[in-house]
Formats: sequence, C-alpha cells, structure tokens
Amino acid sequence: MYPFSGIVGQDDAKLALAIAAVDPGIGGVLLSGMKGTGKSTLVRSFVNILPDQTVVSDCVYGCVPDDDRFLCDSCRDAAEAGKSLGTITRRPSLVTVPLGVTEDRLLGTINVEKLLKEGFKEFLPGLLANANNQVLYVDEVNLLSDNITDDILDACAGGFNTVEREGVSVTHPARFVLVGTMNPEEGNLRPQILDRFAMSVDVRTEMNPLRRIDIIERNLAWETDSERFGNAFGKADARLRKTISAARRRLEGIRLPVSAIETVAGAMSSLKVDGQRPDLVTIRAARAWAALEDRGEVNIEALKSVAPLCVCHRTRSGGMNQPPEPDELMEVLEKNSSASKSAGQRYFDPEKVLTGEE
Amino acid sequence: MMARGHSLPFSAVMGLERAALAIRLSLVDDTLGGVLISGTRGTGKSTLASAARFLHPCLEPDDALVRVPLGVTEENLMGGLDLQEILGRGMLKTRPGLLQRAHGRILLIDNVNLLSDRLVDLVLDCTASGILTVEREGVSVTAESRFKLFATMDPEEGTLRPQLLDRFDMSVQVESLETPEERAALAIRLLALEQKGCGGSDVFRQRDLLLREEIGRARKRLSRVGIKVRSLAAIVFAMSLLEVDGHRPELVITKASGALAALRGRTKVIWDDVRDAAGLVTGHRTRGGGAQGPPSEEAVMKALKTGWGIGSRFGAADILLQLRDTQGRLLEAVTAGMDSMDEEVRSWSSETGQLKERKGMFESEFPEFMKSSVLKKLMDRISLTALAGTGSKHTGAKPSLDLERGKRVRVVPTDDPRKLDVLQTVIAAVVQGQRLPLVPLERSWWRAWERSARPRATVMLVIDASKSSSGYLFGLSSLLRTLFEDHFDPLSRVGLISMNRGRVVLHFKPTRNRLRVYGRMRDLVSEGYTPLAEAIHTARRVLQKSNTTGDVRGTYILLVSDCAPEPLPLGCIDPFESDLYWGVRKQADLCGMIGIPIMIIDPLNYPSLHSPERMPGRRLARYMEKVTRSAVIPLPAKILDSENRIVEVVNSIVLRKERSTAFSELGSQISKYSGAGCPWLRG
Repeated sequence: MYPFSGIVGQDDAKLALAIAAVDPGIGGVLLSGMKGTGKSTLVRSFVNILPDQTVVSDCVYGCVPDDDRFLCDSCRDAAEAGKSLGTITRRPSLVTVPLGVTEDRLLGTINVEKLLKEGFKEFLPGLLANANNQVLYVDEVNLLSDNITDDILDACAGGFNTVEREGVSVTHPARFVLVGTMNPEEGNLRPQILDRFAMSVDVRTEMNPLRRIDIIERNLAWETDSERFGNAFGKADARLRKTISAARRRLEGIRLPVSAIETVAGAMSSLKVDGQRPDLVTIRAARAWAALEDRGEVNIEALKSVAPLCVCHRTRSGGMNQPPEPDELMEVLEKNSSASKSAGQRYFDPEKVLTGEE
Repeated sequence: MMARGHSLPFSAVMGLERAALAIRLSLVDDTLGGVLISGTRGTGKSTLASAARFLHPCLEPDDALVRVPLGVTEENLMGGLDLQEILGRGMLKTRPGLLQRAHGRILLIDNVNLLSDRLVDLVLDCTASGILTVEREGVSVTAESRFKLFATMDPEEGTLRPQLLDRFDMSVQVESLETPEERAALAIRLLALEQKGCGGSDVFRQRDLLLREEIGRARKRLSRVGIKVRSLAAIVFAMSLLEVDGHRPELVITKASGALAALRGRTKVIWDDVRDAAGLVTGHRTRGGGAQGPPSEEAVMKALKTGWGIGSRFGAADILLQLRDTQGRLLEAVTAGMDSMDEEVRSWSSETGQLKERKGMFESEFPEFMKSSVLKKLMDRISLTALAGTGSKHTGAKPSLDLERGKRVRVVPTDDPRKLDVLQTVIAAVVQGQRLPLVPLERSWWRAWERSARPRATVMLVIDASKSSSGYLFGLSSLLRTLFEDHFDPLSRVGLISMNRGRVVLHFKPTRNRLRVYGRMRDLVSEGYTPLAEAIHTARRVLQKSNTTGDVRGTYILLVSDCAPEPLPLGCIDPFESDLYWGVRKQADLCGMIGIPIMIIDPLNYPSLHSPERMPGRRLARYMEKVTRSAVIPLPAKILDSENRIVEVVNSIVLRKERSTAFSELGSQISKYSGAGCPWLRG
C-alpha cells in the first residue's frame, strides 16, 4: 500500500483526513477532483495513519468495548451480564463499496446457503457491518445509485443499521468514517448526501513544476521497489499515527471558549447556511485541529483553518444560494470573532449545561 | 435503562416546538393518527421523532419505537412466511412483520418520501383501519395493529402524493434556526450531550420524565374533556370557509384541541386550543376538491376568527358536548352532530341570504385570494381537477413497465431458469408438500419475482415563452403536472429552461422538487424571440452534467415550442436552409448521437403537423423527431379550441370533466412514447 506520507502536496485533503482520524465522530470526508489527482491513493493510504484499535475478539461487528452505546446485541448482553469481553488489537481497515453493489450485499441479508442446507436462519452481515468502527470508502460516490446512497445515509444517521429483509430482522452498530471520492465532471451529488459529509475538499492538480517532478520521481521509485519505498515513508506514517493517537488523548482536555461557539454560530447565521450540522461539525473539527497542533484551546486560528473544509460545500437559504467562497467565509468569521470577544473568556462546560446551570 | 446510540432526549431539541406539540398530542389521544414532519436537512426532525420514545406513556424507551429502514422488503414490513419453520421443519408458519410488531408502539419512518409508494400505501392503509391483512402462498393472516405513525421528509428530495399526504392527521413544516444566539445555544447543548453521553440523568432527561408524566395525566383527563357547541361551530365554519376537502380535518381539529386542553390541564376546550390545533391539522390539506393547495397560516387564523364570530350566534344552544363516553371512546354522536351542524350552518346562511354575506366576508377577509387573476385561479382549478380525476383513474392502471431493476411486486411461476429466485422456489416446493433436499428442481416449483416500475426520468423542459406562445403557458403547466405526477416515478427529476426575450434562461437544473418548477412555469413571461439552438444546447449540457451514471436512459428533453426559431434574416428564401435552422439541426444531431431524445409538444398546430407540409417549423420538428428517434406528440383535439390552441380561458366549468379525460388521454399518450413504447427507455 502506498504510504500516506509519500503523497506530495494535497495538504487540505490530508488535514481533513487527519481530523477525521482524531475525532471519527465528526463525520465523513468527501474528496472531489479531476481524474489522476491522487484522490483514491489518499483514501487507500488513509488507514495507514489510523492508530490500532482494541475490539471484542469474536464479534463479527468489531465492537469497541469502551463505548457501551454502540455495542451489538451479543456484546451488550455479555456486558450487561457482567462478563468480561475478550479483546484483540487490530489495524483498522478500509471497506470499499463497489459501484455495482446490491442492497443485499450492502445491508446484509439472510444466509441462503445455511438456510437451505441446515434449515437454520442466520443473518449474513453486509458491508455496513464490516465497516463498523472502520472506514467505509465509496469511490465515485456521485455515480452510486440513489437507493444505495439512501441506505448508507440511513445507517449513517443513527450509527445503527436496521435490516428488515427476507425474513431476518437485525439491528447492529454501523458507525464508520465515510470517505467518498468523486469527479465533479461526471455529475453532481444530491445536496442531502453532500450535507452528510462533514468535510469536503477540492483536490486540485499540482501546478508547481518542482512538485510535479517530485510526484513522478516518487511514483517511479514506488514502482521499482515498493518495499524500500514503503519502509522509507513508513516511518513517517508511524510518526503520524503516534501524533494522531496523542491528539486523541488530548481531545477531551481541549478548552472551548463560548466565544468560539458564538463566532461559528454567528458566521453560519449570517451566511444563512442550511441546517444545524455545519455549526457542530466546524466546532468539533476545530477542536480536533487544536488537539493535532497541541494547542490548549480552540481559537480563531483553529476555526479559520477548518472552516473552509466544513462549510464550503453546503447550500444556503434553503438550497437557493450557492455555498460560500472561502474568502467570504474568512471575512465573516473574522467579523463575528471580534464582535463576540467582548463577552469575556468563558469556557464551555458540559457538566454545567447538563445540570441546567447554563 | 441504557440508551442506544446517539439518542438525544426529546427536550434537548430546539426550534421544533410545533412538531414537538404534535407528537405530544398524538401520544395523548390514541385515536389521533400520524404526524408528518417536513423540512430541510439538519433541522433535527428525525432526532425529535425518534426521541418521542422517551415520552411514551406506557412503554420503556427501548421498547416503545419501531423504525422502518428504507431498505425494508414488503415481506418484512407486512409479515410473511417463517422461512426457518418452512425449511427446517416443513411447517407453514407466519412471522410477524414490522407493522405487527409496532402494535401499541410508535412507528417511525425517516424520509418517508424515499420509501416506495406501494409500501407507504400499505402502512397508511394499516393506520387507517388498524387491521393488518397478509395474503401469501398458502396462508392468510389478519391481525390487529394500531400504532402511532411519525414520519419525516425533506421536500427537496421529492414530494409525497396528495392522497398519501391527506392520510396524515397532523403535519408540521420545520425550518433551520435563524438567529446566532439560538444556533450557539443548540450547538452548546449538542456538544455537551455528545461529550458526556446521553445515558445519564441530565436536566433534559428529567424534563423528558416530566413531559411523560404530563402526558400520562392528560390521557386520564381526556375522557372528561368537553367542547362547546360554539367552538365546534367555529371549527366547522372555518373549514367550510376555507373549502378544505372532506370532514376529516374538522374531526381531527376537534380531537386535537381536546387533547391539547387535556395536556394543558383543562377539561374544557377554549379558543387557544382550537387555534393551536388547527395550525397543526390544516398545513397539508388540499381545498376546493383538490383545486387549491393548503391554506396559509394567516388564512386559517382569519377563517377561525370568522367562524368563532358566527359560532357565537349559537348562544342559546351553547352547551358543552362531552367528546368521549366513559370508556374513553370518541363519541359518534359528536361526529354526527358535526355533520348535521355543517348542514345546518349551510342552510341557515343561504336561507337568510347570508351566503352572499359570507362570500363578501370571505373576500374582504382574504384579499390575497383576490389578487391573483381570475384566469390563473380557474386554470389552477382545472389543472388540479384534472389531476384528481386522472389520479383516481390511474391508481390501478399506472403504466407498469417490466424493468429488470424495478421494485419487486409479487412472486409468479416462471419458465425461465435465469429469472429463478431460489428462496421463493424452495418455499413454493415446500408449500406443495416437498421436503429438502429438492433435487431435481421441478419446473412447477419455479418462481420468480415480478418487478414493475414507473419510468424514473430526468426531463429537461424547454419552454418557448416567446410571443407566439402567450396563449398556452397556463394550460401547459397543468398538463405537465398531470404527466409527471401520474405517469412517472415520484423520484423523477425535472429541470426548466425558458426561451424568453431572445435569451435562454436556465431556471432549474433537474430537481426532484417539482412543485417549484411548476410554480415558476406559471410566472414565465411571454415576449421576444426564440433562440432554439442555444436552448437545446443548454438543455443537453445540463442533462449530461446532472446525469450521474453516464447512462442516458430515461433522460430527455421535452420541447414545448412551435419550432420556429426567430428572428429570420432579411430576404431569406428557404428558412429551413438558413443558418438559424442549421444551428438547431446541428444541436438535434448531437442529441441524437448521444441518445437524448427531444420530444416535441407543438401546442399550436396540431392537425397540420402530420399532414404533408412545407412550413419550415414543421420540417424542423420532423427533422428533430427523426434524428433523435423520438416523437412529436400530437395533442388530443379536445384540449384544443377552434384555432388549435390549448384552451386558455376557461369560461365554462361544465367542460371541466370532459377536459380532465382529455388530459388523462394525453398523459397516457405521452407515457406511451416515453415509456413502454419507446426502446430507449426500456434499454
């Protein structure tokens, strides 16, 4: 597999993927760009920078035992009965949704072979089950048929996949980082789907001739001796993996000033961005950015670094207006930031909110 | 109880107060039917509907809600044969479906507009009757199934047919929060819940518990709630003033205001209850026999106030009617009373010559209704009547194309081993008394799925809004409505380009929100010339870009024009050979090469179109028909007046019926060209 650090340029895309790696709960990443810009390579190498994960050893859904809200039925029963769950450590993997995928294969269905041979009804897990706690990759997401995208979104919405097909009824956790790539030349994406991607990046062709030379050299090196190439950049990938797990640990401790939340809300409100999702995504991404950069708190710099990734693909005024341009977005953020400075330095405290003090 | 997944508490959702109220009312009164929440993405409608589980008065949250996934099969929704029993033990047993499991619970359908029409139909049937009937090979089951239906949809993604809409008792339109303060407050709340998990005993959970208790108390109080004749009269009057269709709305408002009174701790329905309930009930109802869309909120308020005024004249008879008997059943008498009162009100007002007064009152109170021109109103009426007329006629006979990719409809015997569905074949064999293993597979057991689909199309409408077309624009919008609503899959997309004042205007790229397109179609101004070549060029580019699969099946341009590009150069001898026409021909050639047919509706010159004719416009139409292998669609004579124009001014309502058949004829003709009869759609 081509190493993540071996890719030249594409800093925005790398940043978006790194943020998604730090806080997978933020949502998906969409990479859109012309053919041959390295979108697919980026995504395939994405799993290289994901830290190892600890999962229940004999669970088909790969449940993570720490998070009791997202356990499958059997793990949940075991946990409630007080049994300790055996765990293993694994490398997260990339589950690819092929273009011609059927609903049965995606969602899971009845195991026909077992039913016919043994007369026993069993659920045959689909791609969404495999992708639980990992990465679900849809290449050319704009070419996927509508009902398949609807099914994926349905599962994305609640973190659980409910299967009601061919006489089986199963609900299992399906929480994944959704990564999509598309070539906008071949058609647009429905706004509803676009909105489900927390971050979106325009991947452009590298125009700097020196970097282009770099790209060619690296590609040739990779083709001649992929093992050596992999070793050379593998170390960089390992460092990145460490940075990301360190950032994950720091994430809880990042302080979030109320003024930063107000800045984002004010900016979204004056840009008339649709829905409440962009506000949340921007704040969470900014927090992940601060954790990556090892800053103590979320400030305007953090907001400005992530906002273009989070907002520049979203419709406005009920779908009547085009997404905002980065310049406009920066300007509005700046304006709202200076407006809310006066409110004093108060920090966001979940406890206070949940006990109703704020 | 440990909560699963991201289940936010009900009271943590902000900005959806009306939707929350509708949900609570529905939980108070079991006879109140479904609630539909519609709005754009990311407003929290699904979150709210799914959090309704925390308020269920009798059940634990984890047990209170059954969710219908979009990928559900009919067998699993309705119930069917238990495969394990059949194949394992050879016993015919049934297995309850989602609807049966939802009995006494909440049934949640997210994105109900994306579920297939047929499944939505089945669910709503069950909601109405409370009885579930399943007929399968070898078994038939009838079961009781009463549930609360909560559904959400994003109108941008396609609309629900009016017949389905009407079967929801309440509906609420929701919007994004606007002010920065609200947005910040919600973000803080959601971040906190996300970070600390939602299983704990936070302030929102406590609020949820309070709401739940409140609902429990209201349910007990409900049997004692009564309504004054005066309020009832106000409701009935308001609905008849607004010409809302059917008696169901007034019944639902009465019930909802009763539930509201109970929720607010009263046993008497007052004005506030009626006012708030009416807003929840009328937002999705058609009026005037389907001729008009739902009333605006202001209109409802005005009508209610007027009704309230008239109702107060019932002073002497102002008694309190009990809504329910001791067992809590809704009193039939009240319903009957409402019917007779409606009659009474009508006769009373007409007898005393107050029908006119009522009309006068109506008009002075609703100036906005009078603003639009008479013509426009009449046209709307005709078009919708036509719609209603064809709608009912076509429910049984929608063009059903046997497409490979269509929805499964039913299991049928087959002779073609390639179509064989293994599971269904085995079931058939077992039902006929066979035991496993089944070798060889006898032909009499072979089963396959019969599939059907209405063509899902992407259509670019290119409308000639030039001088020559002023007559037919209104008629056109109704005609196309008929076409799309009755003959195409609800998820079809329509875009709009107009040629107007010599310019090509792209109004909409293909969108599923077709209502917006129809709306714009009516506002097209007609003047100027026809830049036909440029319009076809734009349409093709847009279609190619928006068609995601690169597969142009079901993609076409519907050109409404007399095909006479203007202005012609001076001194032109044969326009057909002029540069202007040449450009159009080249564009048509391109479309033909790619495989995008240009279908032409020529609204002006129907009879002569098919006669040998030298008119350049007609030659051009013929040319486009030939190179794109499409069709010039003849309009049935009934829609045309003596000068062969689509009838523009409607002066006689008598003709309405006749015309609605004409519309339906046209619709089926168009669908013949665009569907079964046309090779490119079948692929």
